[in-house]
Amino acid sequence: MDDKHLVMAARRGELAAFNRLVLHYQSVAYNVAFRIIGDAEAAADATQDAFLKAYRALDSFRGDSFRAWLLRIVTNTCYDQLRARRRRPSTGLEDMTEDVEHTWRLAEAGESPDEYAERVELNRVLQWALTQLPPEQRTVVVLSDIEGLSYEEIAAVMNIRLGTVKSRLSRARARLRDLLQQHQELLPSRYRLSSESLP
Amino acid sequence: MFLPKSTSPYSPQDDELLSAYLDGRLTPAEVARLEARLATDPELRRRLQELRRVVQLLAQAPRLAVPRAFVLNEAQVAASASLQAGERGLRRSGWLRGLTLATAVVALALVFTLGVDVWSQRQTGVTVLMAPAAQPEAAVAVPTAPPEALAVAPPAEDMAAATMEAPTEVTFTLKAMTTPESSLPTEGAEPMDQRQVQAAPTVEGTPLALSQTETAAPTIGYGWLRVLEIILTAALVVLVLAMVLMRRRRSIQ
Repeated sequence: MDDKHLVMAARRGELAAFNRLVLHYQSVAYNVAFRIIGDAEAAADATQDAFLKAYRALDSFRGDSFRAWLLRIVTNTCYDQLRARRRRPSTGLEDMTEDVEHTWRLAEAGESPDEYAERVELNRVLQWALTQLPPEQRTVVVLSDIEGLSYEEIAAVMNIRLGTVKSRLSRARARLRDLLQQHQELLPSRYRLSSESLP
Repeated sequence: MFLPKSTSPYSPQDDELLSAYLDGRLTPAEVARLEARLATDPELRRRLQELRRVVQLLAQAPRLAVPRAFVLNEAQVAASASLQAGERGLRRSGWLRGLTLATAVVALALVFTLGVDVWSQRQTGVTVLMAPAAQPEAAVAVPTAPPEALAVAPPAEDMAAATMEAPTEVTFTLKAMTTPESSLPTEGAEPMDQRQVQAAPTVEGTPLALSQTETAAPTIGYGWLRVLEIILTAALVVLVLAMVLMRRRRSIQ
């Protein structure tokens, strides 16, 4: 069954049909939430909350893309979380790098422990850099360059024009470039940006 | 000193071009122009490479394992439904509070406007005419103005002629307002005569010290006040109705 049929079944009250959608999209939803919020537990809460909201709002799903519709609910839930957390001081790079006891776990990639450790480092630095961006730039770059959504899908998720997607994405990438260049030493050597190390 | 102040001659527009170029989002003309620049500008090439590297790095961003399955169970759905109903109730009580406040503000504004109305009428002497308007059964009192008052009328008649507009309009308003209950039309007198009789006391009631402009001005202000009173009254009625409806819907739930 495709998304539309599952949505129709879920609207008739078949929770199992909706749960098939959950299982299919929970990874993208959770990863997007984590990239936007930067905290594993809060991201899990936001993901659960977003699925509940989606279930209650199924009648308002009109579009062709369930993924875009769902991610819109996810990103809005994340913004609510961020607003609620705003009172807390922002995390500095030091906190990020000293946070050895992280609560997240990377998906298995069949690699050596050293390679896994390198990816953990990469994840840490990328996440720190992302949190330096304004939320709307962060969301655009996460949806585009991490999740691989098209400009059109991003425009639908964020309810913005294509031109805005283009300019926000370019600003986000330029800012990330500056941040990662300034902190090259934090990146595992094989992930560094410098021109000399380019293949 | 001759060196340019900025270390980079590249603008955010260049970054936007390069970024869109990486995504294949430029028109063929833009691509041709950018590639011509890239061919001759090693620094621009370097910037493109760095940007490409950032995009590649993000594509390599490790995926996080989902900490648990986010599937919903019946209990969660039921709990969230009752929570949602609670939220809706809260939101409605917020609306109700806002509505009550708006009603109070409009009511106060109406009282204030009526106050200004009465005050300005007292200032210009229109009160003489407006008093019957407020109490239609007393309307007959107007034509029965003391004969001696009518006797003094001649000196004021020049003024009445000069400010014909003001008294006529006021009289008209009075007639419009009193007609249903007033006994005036049944007295058999001609409308024109009535207007004269009514106009006379108006001028009579006006303090002699009042200048012509002063008599004319309140007429305009008076019209606006009336419009404002009507608007405020309508708003008040709508607000009160909305409030009643909302309370009823709330008690049903």
